[in-house]
Amino acid sequence: MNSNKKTVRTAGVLYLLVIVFGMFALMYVRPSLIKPGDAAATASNIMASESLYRVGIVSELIMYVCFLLLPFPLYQLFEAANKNWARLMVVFVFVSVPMAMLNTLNNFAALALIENAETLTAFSTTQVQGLLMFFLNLYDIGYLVAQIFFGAWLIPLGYLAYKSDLFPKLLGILVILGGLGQIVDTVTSLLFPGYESVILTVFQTLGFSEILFCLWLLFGRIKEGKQTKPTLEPAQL
Amino acid sequence: MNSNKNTARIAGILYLLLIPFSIFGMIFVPSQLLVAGDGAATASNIMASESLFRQSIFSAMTVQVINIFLVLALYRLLRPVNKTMAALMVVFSLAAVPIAMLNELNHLAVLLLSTGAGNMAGFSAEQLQALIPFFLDLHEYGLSIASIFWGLWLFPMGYLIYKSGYLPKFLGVLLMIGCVGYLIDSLAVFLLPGVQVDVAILTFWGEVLFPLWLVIKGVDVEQYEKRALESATV
Repeated sequence: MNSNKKTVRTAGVLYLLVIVFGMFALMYVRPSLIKPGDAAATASNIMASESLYRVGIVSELIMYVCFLLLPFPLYQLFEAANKNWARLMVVFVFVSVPMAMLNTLNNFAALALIENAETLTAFSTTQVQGLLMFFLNLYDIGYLVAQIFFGAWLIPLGYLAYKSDLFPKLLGILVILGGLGQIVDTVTSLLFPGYESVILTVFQTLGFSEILFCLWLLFGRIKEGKQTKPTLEPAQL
Repeated sequence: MNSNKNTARIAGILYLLLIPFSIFGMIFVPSQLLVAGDGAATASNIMASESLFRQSIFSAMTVQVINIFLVLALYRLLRPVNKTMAALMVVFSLAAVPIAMLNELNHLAVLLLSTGAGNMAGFSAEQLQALIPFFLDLHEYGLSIASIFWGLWLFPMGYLIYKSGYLPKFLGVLLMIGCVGYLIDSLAVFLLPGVQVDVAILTFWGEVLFPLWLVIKGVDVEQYEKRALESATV
Protein backbone atom coordinates (compact mmCIF):
# COMPACT_ATOMS: atom_id res chain seq x y z
CA MET A 1 0.00 0.00 0.00
CA ASN A 2 2.78 2.36 0.94
CA SER A 3 4.61 1.89 -2.35
CA ASN A 4 1.33 2.43 -4.14
CA LYS A 5 0.92 5.77 -2.49
CA LYS A 6 4.40 6.73 -3.60
CA THR A 7 3.52 5.77 -7.18
CA VAL A 8 0.39 7.90 -7.03
CA ARG A 9 2.30 10.91 -5.73
CA THR A 10 5.03 10.48 -8.38
CA ALA A 11 2.34 10.51 -11.05
CA GLY A 12 0.84 13.58 -9.40
CA VAL A 13 4.12 15.47 -9.48
CA LEU A 14 4.72 14.58 -13.14
CA TYR A 15 1.18 15.57 -14.03
CA LEU A 16 1.61 18.85 -12.20
CA LEU A 17 4.80 19.56 -14.16
CA VAL A 18 2.93 18.84 -17.40
CA ILE A 19 0.20 21.26 -16.42
CA VAL A 20 2.50 24.02 -15.15
CA PHE A 21 4.95 23.95 -18.08
CA GLY A 22 2.07 23.55 -20.50
CA MET A 23 0.07 26.43 -19.09
CA PHE A 24 3.09 28.72 -19.08
CA ALA A 25 3.84 27.98 -22.73
CA LEU A 26 0.34 27.74 -24.15
CA MET A 27 -1.77 29.97 -21.94
CA TYR A 28 0.73 32.64 -20.97
CA VAL A 29 3.53 33.06 -23.53
CA ARG A 30 1.57 32.35 -26.70
CA PRO A 31 -1.43 34.60 -26.11
CA SER A 32 0.77 37.41 -24.83
CA LEU A 33 2.92 37.45 -27.99
CA ILE A 34 0.80 36.07 -30.80
CA LYS A 35 -2.02 38.22 -32.06
CA PRO A 36 -4.25 36.20 -34.39
CA GLY A 37 -4.80 37.97 -37.68
CA ASP A 38 -2.12 40.59 -37.03
CA ALA A 39 1.12 39.39 -38.56
CA ALA A 40 3.00 42.67 -38.12
CA ALA A 41 2.17 42.98 -34.42
CA THR A 42 3.00 39.32 -33.83
CA ALA A 43 6.35 39.60 -35.59
CA SER A 44 7.34 42.69 -33.66
CA ASN A 45 6.17 41.12 -30.37
CA ILE A 46 8.33 38.07 -30.99
CA MET A 47 11.31 40.22 -31.91
CA ALA A 48 10.84 42.44 -28.87
CA SER A 49 10.41 39.52 -26.46
CA GLU A 50 12.50 36.90 -28.17
CA SER A 51 13.79 35.34 -24.95
CA LEU A 52 10.28 34.96 -23.57
CA TYR A 53 9.21 33.36 -26.83
CA ARG A 54 12.16 30.95 -26.68
CA VAL A 55 11.57 30.10 -23.03
CA GLY A 56 7.97 29.38 -23.97
CA ILE A 57 9.04 26.81 -26.58
CA VAL A 58 11.49 25.18 -24.16
CA SER A 59 8.77 25.08 -21.53
CA GLU A 60 6.52 23.29 -24.00
CA LEU A 61 9.26 20.78 -24.82
CA ILE A 62 9.80 20.09 -21.11
CA MET A 63 6.07 19.55 -20.78
CA TYR A 64 6.22 16.83 -23.42
CA VAL A 65 9.18 15.10 -21.80
CA CYS A 66 7.29 15.04 -18.49
CA PHE A 67 4.23 13.79 -20.35
CA LEU A 68 6.32 10.95 -21.78
CA LEU A 69 7.30 9.95 -18.24
CA LEU A 70 3.79 10.18 -16.83
CA PRO A 71 2.56 6.78 -18.08
CA PHE A 72 5.35 4.98 -16.19
CA PRO A 73 3.90 5.43 -12.69
CA LEU A 74 0.33 5.31 -14.03
CA TYR A 75 0.95 1.99 -15.77
CA GLN A 76 2.41 0.59 -12.57
CA LEU A 77 -0.67 1.79 -10.74
CA PHE A 78 -3.27 0.43 -13.15
CA GLU A 79 -1.54 -2.64 -14.53
CA ALA A 80 -3.39 -4.82 -12.05
CA ALA A 81 -6.78 -3.29 -12.84
CA ASN A 82 -6.60 -4.07 -16.55
CA LYS A 83 -3.39 -4.64 -18.39
CA ASN A 84 -4.77 -4.06 -21.90
CA TRP A 85 -6.36 -0.74 -21.07
CA ALA A 86 -3.21 0.31 -19.25
CA ARG A 87 -1.18 -0.50 -22.36
CA LEU A 88 -3.57 1.45 -24.54
CA MET A 89 -3.08 4.47 -22.30
CA VAL A 90 0.69 4.16 -22.57
CA VAL A 91 0.66 3.77 -26.35
CA PHE A 92 -1.54 6.85 -26.88
CA VAL A 93 0.88 8.97 -24.89
CA PHE A 94 3.96 7.59 -26.62
CA VAL A 95 2.49 8.26 -30.06
CA SER A 96 1.57 11.83 -29.24
CA VAL A 97 4.91 13.02 -27.90
CA PRO A 98 7.20 12.89 -30.97
CA MET A 99 4.43 14.44 -33.04
CA ALA A 100 3.87 17.27 -30.62
CA MET A 101 7.59 17.87 -30.16
CA LEU A 102 8.32 18.04 -33.85
CA ASN A 103 5.35 20.35 -34.22
CA THR A 104 7.20 22.95 -32.13
CA LEU A 105 9.44 23.31 -35.21
CA ASN A 106 6.67 25.53 -36.55
CA ASN A 107 7.32 27.87 -33.64
CA PHE A 108 11.04 27.75 -34.34
CA ALA A 109 10.18 28.58 -37.95
CA ALA A 110 9.06 32.01 -36.78
CA LEU A 111 12.48 32.50 -35.19
CA ALA A 112 14.26 31.15 -38.26
CA LEU A 113 12.41 33.70 -40.40
CA ILE A 114 13.52 36.51 -38.12
CA GLU A 115 17.10 35.20 -37.94
CA ASN A 116 17.31 35.01 -41.72
CA ALA A 117 15.82 38.43 -42.33
CA GLU A 118 18.94 39.46 -44.24
CA THR A 119 18.77 36.68 -46.80
CA LEU A 120 14.99 36.90 -47.01
CA THR A 121 15.12 40.37 -48.55
CA ALA A 122 14.03 38.70 -51.78
CA PHE A 123 10.61 38.75 -50.13
CA SER A 124 8.77 41.84 -49.00
CA THR A 125 8.45 42.44 -45.26
CA THR A 126 4.74 41.78 -45.50
CA GLN A 127 5.43 38.46 -47.18
CA VAL A 128 7.91 37.41 -44.49
CA GLN A 129 5.44 38.41 -41.79
CA GLY A 130 2.77 36.47 -43.66
CA LEU A 131 5.00 33.39 -43.67
CA LEU A 132 5.63 33.84 -39.97
CA MET A 133 1.91 33.86 -39.28
CA PHE A 134 1.43 30.91 -41.60
CA PHE A 135 3.87 28.79 -39.58
CA LEU A 136 2.28 29.85 -36.30
CA ASN A 137 -1.07 28.76 -37.69
CA LEU A 138 0.45 25.48 -38.83
CA TYR A 139 1.62 25.01 -35.26
CA ASP A 140 -1.96 25.38 -34.01
CA ILE A 141 -3.17 22.81 -36.49
CA GLY A 142 -0.30 20.47 -35.62
CA TYR A 143 -1.24 20.79 -31.97
CA LEU A 144 -4.82 19.85 -32.84
CA VAL A 145 -3.53 16.73 -34.57
CA ALA A 146 -1.53 15.69 -31.51
CA GLN A 147 -4.53 16.59 -29.38
CA ILE A 148 -6.36 13.56 -30.76
CA PHE A 149 -3.99 11.52 -28.61
CA PHE A 150 -3.90 14.05 -25.75
CA GLY A 151 -7.62 13.32 -25.56
CA ALA A 152 -7.48 9.64 -26.43
CA TRP A 153 -5.15 8.64 -23.59
CA LEU A 154 -7.58 10.10 -21.05
CA ILE A 155 -10.25 7.57 -22.01
CA PRO A 156 -8.31 4.49 -20.86
CA LEU A 157 -6.98 6.57 -17.95
CA GLY A 158 -10.48 7.51 -16.82
CA TYR A 159 -11.73 3.98 -17.36
CA LEU A 160 -8.88 2.58 -15.27
CA ALA A 161 -9.41 5.17 -12.55
CA TYR A 162 -13.07 4.13 -12.53
CA LYS A 163 -12.38 0.40 -12.50
CA SER A 164 -9.42 0.30 -10.17
CA ASP A 165 -11.37 1.49 -7.13
CA LEU A 166 -8.38 3.64 -6.24
CA PHE A 167 -10.24 6.87 -7.01
CA PRO A 168 -13.80 8.14 -6.73
CA LYS A 169 -15.82 6.81 -9.67
CA LEU A 170 -16.99 10.31 -10.59
CA LEU A 171 -13.38 11.38 -11.14
CA GLY A 172 -12.91 8.58 -13.66
CA ILE A 173 -16.01 9.67 -15.54
CA LEU A 174 -14.89 13.30 -15.60
CA VAL A 175 -11.50 12.30 -16.98
CA ILE A 176 -13.19 10.33 -19.77
CA LEU A 177 -15.39 13.32 -20.59
CA GLY A 178 -12.34 15.57 -20.63
CA GLY A 179 -10.70 13.21 -23.12
CA LEU A 180 -13.77 13.10 -25.34
CA GLY A 181 -13.87 16.90 -25.19
CA GLN A 182 -10.39 17.20 -26.64
CA ILE A 183 -11.17 14.75 -29.43
CA VAL A 184 -14.42 16.56 -30.25
CA ASP A 185 -12.48 19.82 -30.27
CA THR A 186 -10.05 18.50 -32.89
CA VAL A 187 -12.79 16.96 -35.01
CA THR A 188 -14.86 20.16 -34.91
CA SER A 189 -11.90 22.34 -35.82
CA LEU A 190 -11.08 20.12 -38.77
CA LEU A 191 -14.57 19.43 -40.08
CA PHE A 192 -16.73 22.33 -38.91
CA PRO A 193 -14.34 25.25 -38.46
CA GLY A 194 -17.20 27.72 -37.93
CA TYR A 195 -18.45 26.01 -34.78
CA GLU A 196 -15.21 25.44 -32.96
CA SER A 197 -15.58 28.36 -30.58
CA VAL A 198 -18.99 27.17 -29.34
CA ILE A 199 -17.85 23.60 -28.88
CA LEU A 200 -14.56 24.75 -27.41
CA THR A 201 -16.13 26.64 -24.53
CA VAL A 202 -18.30 23.63 -23.69
CA PHE A 203 -15.41 21.23 -23.64
CA GLN A 204 -12.73 23.51 -22.32
CA THR A 205 -14.74 23.58 -19.13
CA LEU A 206 -14.28 19.82 -19.11
CA GLY A 207 -10.54 20.40 -19.23
CA PHE A 208 -10.67 21.08 -15.51
CA SER A 209 -11.09 17.33 -14.99
CA GLU A 210 -7.40 16.86 -15.77
CA ILE A 211 -6.44 19.42 -13.16
CA LEU A 212 -8.81 17.79 -10.70
CA PHE A 213 -7.27 14.38 -11.38
CA CYS A 214 -3.78 15.81 -10.95
CA LEU A 215 -4.74 17.38 -7.62
CA TRP A 216 -6.27 14.11 -6.52
CA LEU A 217 -3.06 12.27 -7.39
CA LEU A 218 -1.12 14.80 -5.33
CA PHE A 219 -3.32 15.22 -2.29
CA GLY A 220 -6.32 12.91 -2.54
CA ARG A 221 -7.10 9.96 -0.35
CA ILE A 222 -6.10 6.84 -2.20
CA LYS A 223 -8.49 4.00 -1.57
CA GLU A 224 -7.41 0.42 -1.21
CA GLY A 225 -8.33 -0.80 -4.65
CA LYS A 226 -7.72 -3.75 -6.90
CA GLN A 227 -4.23 -2.47 -7.26
CA THR A 228 -2.85 -4.85 -4.63
CA LYS A 229 -0.56 -7.03 -6.63
CA PRO A 230 -1.70 -10.60 -7.18
CA THR A 231 0.93 -12.61 -5.37
CA LEU A 232 1.54 -15.07 -8.17
CA GLU A 233 2.02 -12.61 -10.99
CA PRO A 234 4.97 -13.53 -13.15
CA ALA A 235 7.70 -10.93 -13.20
CA GLN A 236 8.08 -10.64 -16.93
CA LEU A 237 6.11 -8.33 -19.13
CA MET B 1 25.66 -18.21 -21.81
CA ASN B 2 26.87 -17.85 -25.35
CA SER B 3 23.76 -15.90 -26.31
CA ASN B 4 24.47 -13.22 -23.70
CA LYS B 5 27.92 -12.70 -25.10
CA ASN B 6 26.25 -12.43 -28.48
CA THR B 7 23.72 -9.85 -27.36
CA ALA B 8 26.56 -7.73 -26.03
CA ARG B 9 28.50 -8.10 -29.25
CA ILE B 10 25.49 -7.29 -31.44
CA ALA B 11 24.68 -4.22 -29.37
CA GLY B 12 28.30 -3.10 -29.56
CA ILE B 13 28.47 -3.54 -33.32
CA LEU B 14 25.17 -1.72 -33.87
CA TYR B 15 26.37 1.11 -31.66
CA LEU B 16 29.66 1.39 -33.53
CA LEU B 17 27.78 1.32 -36.84
CA LEU B 18 26.11 4.56 -35.84
CA ILE B 19 29.43 6.37 -35.87
CA PRO B 20 30.30 6.24 -39.60
CA PHE B 21 26.69 6.85 -40.63
CA SER B 22 26.32 9.82 -38.28
CA ILE B 23 29.63 11.34 -39.27
CA PHE B 24 28.92 10.97 -42.96
CA GLY B 25 25.27 12.01 -42.86
CA MET B 26 25.25 14.60 -40.14
CA ILE B 27 28.75 16.08 -40.05
CA PHE B 28 30.89 15.43 -43.13
CA VAL B 29 28.51 16.00 -46.03
CA PRO B 30 26.68 18.94 -44.43
CA SER B 31 30.02 20.59 -43.73
CA GLN B 32 31.00 20.13 -47.38
CA LEU B 33 27.79 21.27 -49.04
CA LEU B 34 25.82 23.51 -46.74
CA VAL B 35 26.93 27.10 -46.37
CA ALA B 36 25.28 28.80 -43.42
CA GLY B 37 23.34 31.88 -44.43
CA ASP B 38 24.20 31.50 -48.11
CA GLY B 39 21.39 29.95 -50.10
CA ALA B 40 22.99 30.52 -53.49
CA ALA B 41 26.26 28.81 -52.57
CA THR B 42 24.40 25.94 -50.90
CA ALA B 43 22.17 25.49 -53.93
CA SER B 44 25.08 25.36 -56.34
CA ASN B 45 26.97 22.91 -54.10
CA ILE B 46 23.95 20.65 -53.96
CA MET B 47 23.41 20.92 -57.72
CA ALA B 48 27.02 19.87 -58.22
CA SER B 49 26.86 16.98 -55.74
CA GLU B 50 23.23 16.04 -55.63
CA SER B 51 23.79 12.34 -55.07
CA LEU B 52 26.20 13.04 -52.21
CA PHE B 53 23.54 15.14 -50.52
CA ARG B 54 20.92 12.44 -51.07
CA GLN B 55 23.28 9.85 -49.57
CA SER B 56 23.78 12.01 -46.51
CA ILE B 57 20.02 12.21 -45.95
CA PHE B 58 19.73 8.47 -46.42
CA SER B 59 22.61 8.01 -44.03
CA ALA B 60 20.95 10.14 -41.36
CA MET B 61 17.80 8.05 -41.71
CA THR B 62 19.80 4.83 -41.48
CA VAL B 63 21.13 6.02 -38.13
CA GLN B 64 17.56 6.17 -36.85
CA VAL B 65 16.71 2.68 -38.05
CA ILE B 66 19.86 1.26 -36.47
CA ASN B 67 18.92 3.06 -33.25
CA ILE B 68 15.75 0.98 -32.98
CA PHE B 69 17.62 -2.31 -33.19
CA LEU B 70 20.35 -1.01 -30.92
CA VAL B 71 18.08 -0.03 -28.08
CA LEU B 72 16.25 -3.35 -28.25
CA ALA B 73 19.56 -5.19 -27.95
CA LEU B 74 20.60 -2.95 -25.06
CA TYR B 75 17.27 -3.60 -23.39
CA ARG B 76 17.99 -7.33 -23.39
CA LEU B 77 21.42 -6.66 -22.04
CA LEU B 78 20.43 -4.30 -19.22
CA ARG B 79 16.92 -5.42 -18.27
CA PRO B 80 18.14 -7.72 -15.48
CA VAL B 81 19.41 -4.66 -13.59
CA ASN B 82 16.13 -2.74 -13.45
CA LYS B 83 13.24 -3.29 -15.79
CA THR B 84 11.67 0.14 -15.38
CA MET B 85 14.91 2.00 -16.06
CA ALA B 86 15.54 -0.23 -19.06
CA ALA B 87 12.05 0.56 -20.38
CA LEU B 88 12.73 4.26 -19.84
CA MET B 89 15.87 3.94 -21.95
CA VAL B 90 13.87 2.32 -24.73
CA VAL B 91 11.13 4.94 -24.64
CA PHE B 92 13.58 7.84 -24.74
CA SER B 93 15.47 6.33 -27.63
CA LEU B 94 12.38 5.48 -29.64
CA ALA B 95 10.86 8.94 -29.13
CA ALA B 96 13.79 10.46 -31.01
CA VAL B 97 13.31 8.24 -34.06
CA PRO B 98 10.13 9.74 -35.58
CA ILE B 99 11.34 13.25 -34.73
CA ALA B 100 14.72 12.85 -36.39
CA MET B 101 13.37 11.00 -39.40
CA LEU B 102 10.63 13.48 -40.19
CA ASN B 103 13.09 16.29 -39.58
CA GLU B 104 15.05 15.12 -42.63
CA LEU B 105 12.18 16.64 -44.61
CA ASN B 106 13.87 19.97 -44.01
CA HIS B 107 16.95 18.77 -45.86
CA LEU B 108 14.73 17.38 -48.59
CA ALA B 109 13.08 20.78 -48.83
CA VAL B 110 16.55 22.26 -49.37
CA LEU B 111 17.12 19.68 -52.09
CA LEU B 112 13.86 20.58 -53.84
CA LEU B 113 14.63 24.29 -53.61
CA SER B 114 18.18 23.83 -54.86
CA THR B 115 17.42 21.67 -57.85
CA GLY B 116 14.19 23.39 -58.80
CA ALA B 117 12.44 20.05 -58.55
CA GLY B 118 9.82 21.74 -56.40
CA ASN B 119 8.32 23.32 -59.52
CA MET B 120 7.69 26.60 -57.76
CA ALA B 121 7.51 28.64 -60.94
CA GLY B 122 5.76 31.60 -59.32
CA PHE B 123 8.84 32.43 -57.25
CA SER B 124 12.00 34.13 -58.42
CA ALA B 125 15.31 32.26 -58.19
CA GLU B 126 16.39 34.62 -55.41
CA GLN B 127 13.30 33.89 -53.41
CA LEU B 128 13.78 30.15 -53.69
CA GLN B 129 17.42 30.45 -52.68
CA ALA B 130 16.50 32.74 -49.81
CA LEU B 131 14.36 29.98 -48.37
CA ILE B 132 17.32 27.58 -48.22
CA PRO B 133 19.03 29.05 -45.13
CA PHE B 134 15.62 29.10 -43.47
CA PHE B 135 15.12 25.37 -43.97
CA LEU B 136 18.72 24.69 -42.91
CA ASP B 137 17.99 26.50 -39.65
CA LEU B 138 14.80 24.52 -39.20
CA HIS B 139 16.77 21.32 -39.70
CA GLU B 140 19.18 22.48 -37.01
CA TYR B 141 16.34 23.18 -34.58
CA GLY B 142 14.78 19.80 -35.39
CA LEU B 143 18.06 18.03 -34.64
CA SER B 144 18.24 19.84 -31.33
CA ILE B 145 14.76 18.60 -30.45
CA ALA B 146 15.75 15.01 -31.25
CA SER B 147 18.97 15.66 -29.36
CA ILE B 148 17.01 16.00 -26.13
CA PHE B 149 16.33 12.29 -26.37
CA TRP B 150 19.78 11.40 -27.70
CA GLY B 151 20.90 12.83 -24.39
CA LEU B 152 18.12 11.54 -22.15
CA TRP B 153 18.37 7.88 -23.13
CA LEU B 154 22.00 7.84 -22.01
CA PHE B 155 20.98 8.53 -18.43
CA PRO B 156 19.07 5.31 -17.72
CA MET B 157 21.66 3.47 -19.83
CA GLY B 158 24.53 4.85 -17.78
CA TYR B 159 22.68 4.22 -14.54
CA LEU B 160 21.98 0.60 -15.48
CA ILE B 161 25.60 -0.01 -16.47
CA TYR B 162 26.78 1.57 -13.24
CA LYS B 163 24.49 -0.66 -11.19
CA SER B 164 24.92 -3.79 -13.28
CA GLY B 165 27.99 -5.39 -11.75
CA TYR B 166 28.70 -6.97 -15.16
CA LEU B 167 29.91 -3.84 -16.92
CA PRO B 168 32.49 -1.35 -15.65
CA LYS B 169 31.12 1.50 -13.54
CA PHE B 170 33.20 4.19 -15.25
CA LEU B 171 31.38 3.55 -18.54
CA GLY B 172 28.09 4.23 -16.81
CA VAL B 173 29.43 7.48 -15.40
CA LEU B 174 30.73 8.58 -18.79
CA LEU B 175 27.36 7.91 -20.41
CA MET B 176 25.50 9.89 -17.76
CA ILE B 177 27.91 12.75 -18.38
CA GLY B 178 27.17 12.37 -22.10
CA CYS B 179 23.48 12.87 -21.32
CA VAL B 180 24.17 16.24 -19.73
CA GLY B 181 26.35 17.26 -22.68
CA TYR B 182 23.58 16.75 -25.22
CA LEU B 183 21.02 18.51 -23.05
CA ILE B 184 23.24 21.56 -22.61
CA ASP B 185 23.83 21.77 -26.36
CA SER B 186 20.12 21.56 -27.11
CA LEU B 187 19.21 24.17 -24.55
CA ALA B 188 21.89 26.47 -25.95
CA VAL B 189 20.43 26.19 -29.45
CA PHE B 190 16.96 26.92 -28.08
CA LEU B 191 17.83 29.75 -25.74
CA LEU B 192 21.11 31.33 -26.85
CA PRO B 193 20.94 32.16 -30.54
CA GLY B 194 24.24 33.03 -32.12
CA VAL B 195 26.24 31.50 -29.29
CA GLN B 196 28.24 28.48 -30.39
CA VAL B 197 28.00 25.91 -27.60
CA ASP B 198 29.38 22.44 -28.23
CA VAL B 199 29.72 20.48 -25.03
CA ALA B 200 28.81 17.12 -26.57
CA ILE B 201 32.10 17.05 -28.45
CA LEU B 202 33.76 16.74 -25.03
CA THR B 203 31.27 14.44 -23.40
CA PHE B 204 30.53 11.84 -26.08
CA TRP B 205 33.38 9.49 -25.16
CA GLY B 206 31.14 7.07 -23.29
CA GLU B 207 29.36 6.40 -26.55
CA VAL B 208 32.59 5.24 -28.16
CA LEU B 209 34.12 3.37 -25.25
CA PHE B 210 30.95 1.52 -24.23
CA PRO B 211 30.36 -0.09 -27.65
CA LEU B 212 34.07 -0.90 -27.94
CA TRP B 213 33.91 -2.54 -24.55
CA LEU B 214 30.87 -4.56 -25.61
CA VAL B 215 32.61 -5.80 -28.74
CA ILE B 216 36.01 -6.50 -27.24
CA LYS B 217 35.30 -7.54 -23.67
CA GLY B 218 31.55 -8.15 -23.63
CA VAL B 219 29.76 -8.61 -20.33
CA ASP B 220 30.94 -10.48 -17.27
CA VAL B 221 28.82 -13.52 -18.06
CA GLU B 222 28.88 -14.98 -14.56
CA GLN B 223 27.61 -11.75 -13.02
CA TYR B 224 25.08 -11.32 -15.80
CA GLU B 225 23.61 -14.79 -15.26
CA LYS B 226 23.36 -14.09 -11.56
CA ARG B 227 21.51 -10.80 -12.13
CA ALA B 228 19.24 -12.39 -14.72
CA LEU B 229 18.32 -15.21 -12.33
CA GLU B 230 17.64 -12.77 -9.50
CA SER B 231 15.42 -10.56 -11.60
CA ALA B 232 13.48 -13.55 -12.91
CA THR B 233 12.62 -14.77 -9.41
CA VAL B 234 11.61 -11.39 -7.99
